[in-house]
Amino acid sequence: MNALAMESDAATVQPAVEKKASPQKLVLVGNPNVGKSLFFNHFSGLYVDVSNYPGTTVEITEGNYKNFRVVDTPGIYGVSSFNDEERVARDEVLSADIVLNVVDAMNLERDLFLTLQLVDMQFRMVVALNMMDALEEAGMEIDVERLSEILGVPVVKATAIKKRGFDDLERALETAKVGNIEPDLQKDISAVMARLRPTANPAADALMILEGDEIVAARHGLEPQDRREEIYVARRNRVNEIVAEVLREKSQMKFGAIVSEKLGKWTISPLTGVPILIFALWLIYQVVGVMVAQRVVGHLEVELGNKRFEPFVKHLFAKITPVEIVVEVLNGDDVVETKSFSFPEGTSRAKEKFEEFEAFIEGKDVTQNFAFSQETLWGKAVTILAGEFGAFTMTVTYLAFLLLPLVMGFYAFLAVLEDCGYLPRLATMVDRLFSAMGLNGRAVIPIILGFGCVTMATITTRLLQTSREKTIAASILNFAIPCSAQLAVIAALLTKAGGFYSLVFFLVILANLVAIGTILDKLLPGKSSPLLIDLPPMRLPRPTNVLKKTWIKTKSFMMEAAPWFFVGALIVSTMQVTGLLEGWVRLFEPITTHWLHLPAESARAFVMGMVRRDFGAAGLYELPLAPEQIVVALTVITLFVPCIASLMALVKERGAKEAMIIWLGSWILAFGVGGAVALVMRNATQNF
Amino acid sequence: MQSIEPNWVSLQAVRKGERFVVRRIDDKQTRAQLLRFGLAEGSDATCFERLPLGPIVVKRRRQEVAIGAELSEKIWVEVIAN
Ligand SMILES: Nc1nc2c(ncn2[C@@H]2O[C@H](COP(=O)(O)OP(=O)(O)O)[C@@H](O)[C@H]2O)c(=O)[nH]1
Ligand SMILES: [Mg+2]
Repeated sequence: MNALAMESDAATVQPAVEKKASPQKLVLVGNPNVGKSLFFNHFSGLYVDVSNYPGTTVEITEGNYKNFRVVDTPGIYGVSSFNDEERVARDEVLSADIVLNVVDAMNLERDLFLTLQLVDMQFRMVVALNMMDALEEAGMEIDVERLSEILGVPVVKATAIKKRGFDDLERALETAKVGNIEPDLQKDISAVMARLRPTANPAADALMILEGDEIVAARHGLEPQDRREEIYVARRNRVNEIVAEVLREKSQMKFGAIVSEKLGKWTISPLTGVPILIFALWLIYQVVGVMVAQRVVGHLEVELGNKRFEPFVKHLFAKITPVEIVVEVLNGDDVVETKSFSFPEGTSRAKEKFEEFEAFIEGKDVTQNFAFSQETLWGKAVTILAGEFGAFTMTVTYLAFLLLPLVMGFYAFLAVLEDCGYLPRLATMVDRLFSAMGLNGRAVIPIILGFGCVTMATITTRLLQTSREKTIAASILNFAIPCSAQLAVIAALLTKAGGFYSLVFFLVILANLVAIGTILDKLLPGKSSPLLIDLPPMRLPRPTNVLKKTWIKTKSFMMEAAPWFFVGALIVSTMQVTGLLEGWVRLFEPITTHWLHLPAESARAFVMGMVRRDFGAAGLYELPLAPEQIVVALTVITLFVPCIASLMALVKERGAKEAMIIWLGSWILAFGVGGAVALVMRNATQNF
Repeated sequence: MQSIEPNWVSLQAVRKGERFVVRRIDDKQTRAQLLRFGLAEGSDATCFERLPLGPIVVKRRRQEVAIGAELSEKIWVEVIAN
């Protein structure tokens, strides 16, 4: 088997694919947003993200098809090393046995540039001409036979969303060919090939070196050549000639294409685009912020989590652990009766008492508060696992009933916006705003997601193009964006404080957000990349795709983030049982009372905010605060450190050093700005 | 390197709806990237939309590309009749 694999590595030019025992590497290559992922899904039977946003596939996905190993790559406009996506794609492409180049028939001029580069690299390849339905709608026609003749490789028509053309494509893969290359370029490539070290595709490496790729050149111990511009211009001219020859206007544009074009125009024209943008944000707020975050989560978390699931788990431990259970009988939101039951040897040793307890709660709406005895080590362990902040209790409730619906809501919205092609337009609309903070419009996605869950958003900063932008975005997110878990409580507290004070709070946070971005933009070396993004046509989102995508993304987020929520819970409960938590609270009290002029108890809220941001906000809700104090307290918890899960995501995405700087920086920022706000307010109102 | 002709303006100065020919792109990397989008020196396009102080959306055939304000200052064009 190994011997055979070696043979196929030798990149001998063969007219047809022979059946080989060892898997050949079939690499899908195409511009962003051309339907590659749909082809990958078809061939591998696996699902990967299908989206209408350039740059959503940042990772390599692999699957199997017949005796091929199929690889999906990030969308690229050419094989080179301009950004992270391209670097990732480049190495996959360079190690391909066969290339399946997916081309958007609607964008032939753009896409054939990459196709010709692949032909010049002398890969055995097949071209899939996708989006034939859209081409038809637009009243255009492509002479496929002629195109295939010019390129010298099989070209197959396809409409991936309708699963059309896949059979032809499978047959064509067996006749994958090396295409026609310009004799002059061929000569130059051969000259470089003679000096290469052994490699999978010598012609491809040679072309990369001619085009000035430093990394590939270094692998062969050669200097990169400076022929890129000349080669690109020649290639561009060839593409234009080919397009002129094979593309024809056949009939009038159909209605659907006209609507799509008009809609596309409206979304980026300032007069109509701004209302559309505001409407989109309002809709997100209404659906995810109000409906999911407040109604659905409110119900699930309390009714299922706090009242059913948690007591169920706690009762399991209570069987053998000394415990006192305080029952509060509720009528609506009011506590109408309180009764305490004590089980010094656990509930299983006190049958009668337990029956009395069960009879008492029977048919009533109650909350049960368990205080496990802390006298033994076992009691402490139970508190850590199943106490107020227990890993099996609070964390499970939090993940399943709060985070899951919320993250799902956000991803569903993002999926719709992505699928209909709005996101790049949104990025264009907000580019100006973001460029003041050293970001470009693309950063709008992580920032919007941040209002859902900062952890989720921090992970999404991967999408940004340079490390500098990732740092700025991650900082803004973790310093100044309140996540939805917090937002609900913040909103409730602001209602108490009234309109004027809400405005003050809003302005303080906004000023911080802008200041952080602007200052980092000044401080960090280098410059952020300016916006250069292609705008895909607007399309109707496809429900199956939206659902699938939402599910996949939610699942992968939960798998990635959930462990950290458990770690966070373990840390707080341990702090609780060891008395460290109280120690921290006392340490904070002087700052809280003297510097922020808040009640001593708010110190507890701040400490809890280190673990879960909404805990911080919720703790404040109970306190009697003047409106000015509400503004101060909310400013502090909004700017204060990210929750433990976000911190972990931050460490993973940006490294421990950067994460610690942000984390410690939030202390200074939160208390500094909070104190300043308190000072101003006290002088202005003399109210507290 | 060519000089700037008197009738060239930066893309930033092109009004909505105007047609133009790309004459010179000052940054090497941008030149390569725009070549791949089909916007080579010498190719024509229209200014499809422009946002106040913000990006300019350029359209060539069916391809729309949004170009940030900063970048558009490095692109020299010659406005031509529609
Ligand atoms: N009209 C039409 N849309 C398609 C076709 N194939 C894919 N799409 C859409 O194009 C977008 C990009 O698809 P995706 O597979 O994510 O492309 P990738 O970025 O190349 O992986 C999605 O919105 C798809 O629904 C097609 O044949 N016709
Ligand atoms: Mg994809």
